[in-house]
Amino acid sequence: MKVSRPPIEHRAAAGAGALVLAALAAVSCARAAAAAGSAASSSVQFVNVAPAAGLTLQNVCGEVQKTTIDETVGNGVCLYDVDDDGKIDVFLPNGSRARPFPPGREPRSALYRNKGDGTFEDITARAGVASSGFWAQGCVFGDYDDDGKVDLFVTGFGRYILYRGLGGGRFKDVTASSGLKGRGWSTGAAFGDYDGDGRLDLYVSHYLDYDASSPPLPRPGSLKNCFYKGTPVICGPGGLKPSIGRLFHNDGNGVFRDVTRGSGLVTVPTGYGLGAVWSDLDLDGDLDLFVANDTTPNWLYRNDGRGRFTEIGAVSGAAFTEEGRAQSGMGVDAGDYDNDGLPDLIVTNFSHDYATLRHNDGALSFTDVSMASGIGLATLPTLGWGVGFLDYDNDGRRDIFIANGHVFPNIDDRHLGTTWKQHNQLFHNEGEGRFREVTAEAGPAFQELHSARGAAFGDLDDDGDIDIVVNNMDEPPSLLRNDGGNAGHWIGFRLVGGPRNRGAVGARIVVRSGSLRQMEEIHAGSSHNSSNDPRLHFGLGTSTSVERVEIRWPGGLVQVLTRLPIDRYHTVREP
Amino acid sequence: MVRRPAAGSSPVSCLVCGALLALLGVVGCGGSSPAATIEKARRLRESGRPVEAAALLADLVQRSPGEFKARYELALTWHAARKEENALAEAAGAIEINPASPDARLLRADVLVALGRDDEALPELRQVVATDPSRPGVHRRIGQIHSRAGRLDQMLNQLEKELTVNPRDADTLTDIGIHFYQTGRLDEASERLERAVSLQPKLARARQYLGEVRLRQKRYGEGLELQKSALADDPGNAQLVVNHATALDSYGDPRDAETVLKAALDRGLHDPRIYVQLGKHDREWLRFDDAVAMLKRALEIAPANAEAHFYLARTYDTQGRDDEALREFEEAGRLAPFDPYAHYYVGMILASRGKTEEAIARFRRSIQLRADNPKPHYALARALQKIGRKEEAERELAVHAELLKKQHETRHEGVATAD
Repeated sequence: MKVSRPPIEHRAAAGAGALVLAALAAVSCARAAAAAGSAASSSVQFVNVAPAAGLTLQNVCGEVQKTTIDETVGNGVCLYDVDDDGKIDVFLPNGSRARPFPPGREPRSALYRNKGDGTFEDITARAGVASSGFWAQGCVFGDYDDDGKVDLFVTGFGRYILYRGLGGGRFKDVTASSGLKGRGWSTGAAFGDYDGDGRLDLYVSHYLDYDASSPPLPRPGSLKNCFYKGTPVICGPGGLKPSIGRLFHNDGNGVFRDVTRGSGLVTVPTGYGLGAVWSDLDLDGDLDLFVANDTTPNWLYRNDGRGRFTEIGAVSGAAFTEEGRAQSGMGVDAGDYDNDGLPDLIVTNFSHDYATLRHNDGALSFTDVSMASGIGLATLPTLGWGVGFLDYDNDGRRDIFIANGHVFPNIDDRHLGTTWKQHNQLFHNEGEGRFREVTAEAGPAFQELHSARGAAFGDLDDDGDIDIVVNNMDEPPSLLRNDGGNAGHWIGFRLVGGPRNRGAVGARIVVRSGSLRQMEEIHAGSSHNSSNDPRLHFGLGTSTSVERVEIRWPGGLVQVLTRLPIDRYHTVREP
Repeated sequence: MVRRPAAGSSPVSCLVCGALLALLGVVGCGGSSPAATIEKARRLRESGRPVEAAALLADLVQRSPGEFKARYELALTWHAARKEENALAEAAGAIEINPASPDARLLRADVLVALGRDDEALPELRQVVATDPSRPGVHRRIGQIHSRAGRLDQMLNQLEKELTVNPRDADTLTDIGIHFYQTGRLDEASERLERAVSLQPKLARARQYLGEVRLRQKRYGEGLELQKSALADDPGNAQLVVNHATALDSYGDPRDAETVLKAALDRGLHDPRIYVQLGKHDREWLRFDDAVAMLKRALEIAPANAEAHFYLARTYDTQGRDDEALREFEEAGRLAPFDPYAHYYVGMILASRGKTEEAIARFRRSIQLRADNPKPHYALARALQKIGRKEEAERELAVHAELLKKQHETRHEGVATAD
């Protein structure tokens, strides 16, 4: 965005004739491409341009002092082109507090329209998504009614909100007629067609069995388990009653049905659910579901393809660390970091514990490679939330971003090597399963300290590299503009499914460029309470051609495209 | 146990004793009465010169072999000089002169205890009790013998009896308090130790353990203060230094933990436990290189310190230095062959290297040593999965799940979840 792009040879040489030669050369260039990408990674700079861009919503999450756990989980970020103008807009759900606000001063969520010139316009009021006074948590975009106008689902305390898209960036609250009845505390949500009927179903994580109608949450130090290393801190989640995640089947006609019971999902309240992501982890053509749980084992649900799930977290290696220990799972993403064709998993966790990178070994078996990869040691001091696999320097390997911030504002007084406000972290994928932390060299945005929560990833300025939006607790958000990531070549895709699942959620694209083979899926809901730009983006490094693009549409249809021009987004419609 | 009279700075060889004896014999034969000699010897003994006192008394005994008081005092003095065999002989002589003397039997019992002959001491003490049931200090001695033999119920019984004859004995109250603390009876421990502290405010040991009790009761501030004050009166207590630092790391300001440990080193307390604790502290602060340095220093002082090898291995493991970690884990396991954790971590490294069968053997050994640790069950399950033994793997996963559930329940009973 607004950065002079270094000259790149062959940038415009995307003619068909040139492609043949390029394809022949690509194999020998592949390793060089990776090396070039590595060198380029240090030149990528992220700058927080949120204030100048007009992303100014002041986040509210309870009182600043944080005396109860509801004040600590924070909000996500959702990205989508809500008005079909080709530019990615930003939705920021907002929290609230127990103490009443003066009339008219209640916090609200905000929808920002991307004006395409590096700035955003607050269109919340006309969009009808302010939900003033509602203590929201997460959000996810998806076209659940297949009308071609994206809809918005919001989680929070006491209820859900389903906004039906009316087009032009306007929405209508249709929760009451949608069948989406929720109470308690809902967090991460994800759309996905789990039963292959073409309609977007919905999974909603729930954290505690708590909302405004519940008895007050215990205060710091009031129960035995409300201490952290001797200091009274907010209570929970341990010792407080967990809730259960909900699976809603989309019956069509705008109605969802709660099918949690009978679907094979865990119905005994044993997990404090936060991040959730649908992904075809075993490449068998249906979406499996991974749920990150706080202080309790994660859940991995294997989909039998007929709408029945089996929880295989422990046996798969996805529930625990390699030491068999449950962590404090917060955010999650599924992505193929080692380009072996299988989606791997990353989960962010508490401080003095590590973010857990799980390699997908195939057949739904995962190995905790956190320490071996370099992610583990580097994330011990931080408390992670939003997370994503992204190829920020377009070198053809997915890197990792983690949004960090502690849950105890008084942690600074304890001098434990961790703090309330933290740096976000960026890890460059060095290949061979190794990551290198590049936070210190990734630009001024990574020098800032915030207590960050949700993070979403997308190319907000359409310049061919991935920007990042972060929701900061009790502060305005950050927009980390990627300057220089587009020094490497790239290709992007916007998929239009049809007639159902118009956003092609769950579609998988494999891009072959020389010896480089990359795979990505379209997710609607991941990270922490967030959802990303639905377009899929592939860095190509110095490769100047893409030999083959294979799209596996959610219904199973496989489409192959060849000789596509690079350094641009392609809109592909389901045949 | 009755406090031993202050001993001399070091035992003197028999040759020197003999010379002194001869010298003092010449000097001492100037006509002092036996009572004056005994009094003079007592003063010498109490001023830390027991060998000189023994010379005086030996001369007296030589001159008056049937004098009970002289024999008894000589036995007492040899005991103070840590010449236990001499003491035993003189105590026997005293008993021979006066078989009914509880003092002599008590002394003989103490000497036998000092010689590690608890079984012989016990009948002597019982005889004292039979003669004089209300004599202070006897039940406490019996209790301590039971304690060493692991007969804790009998120990407690004797200590309680001691309190009936000596209700203001802070040492006995402290012993009982420690016993209750170690057996998890915190309220009772608290009550006894509080009484001990109020009876004898300078008794550092009582405050040390009352501090431990307070920490277990989650009265962290009080616990830390008690430890701090105990340490002020007992600055050479390396275990107290380590315990206090551990508590500060967990419940106080971790910077203070570091200060306490480094202050102990500054005052010359170069105990390997302190270096190990500094290493653990540095690990907690994620200063892994510093942790390695501290743990290596501990090993310079005590090469066979299994805990230092273990934490050094853990630190290398965290740093990804697998070869060094494996070597240190192996050494920790060799030094503490019944420690389940070293086997487990060796297994983890072997598993990561694809040596699945060897890893399985280590996990099984770890489980054999401690079956209620969920970690090796999980690791074993994963290893078994890798070689296709799915049914066995599932069994291990079930055990792992059950143990985690129990652990979770226990945590919620009292330990901070976030911890």
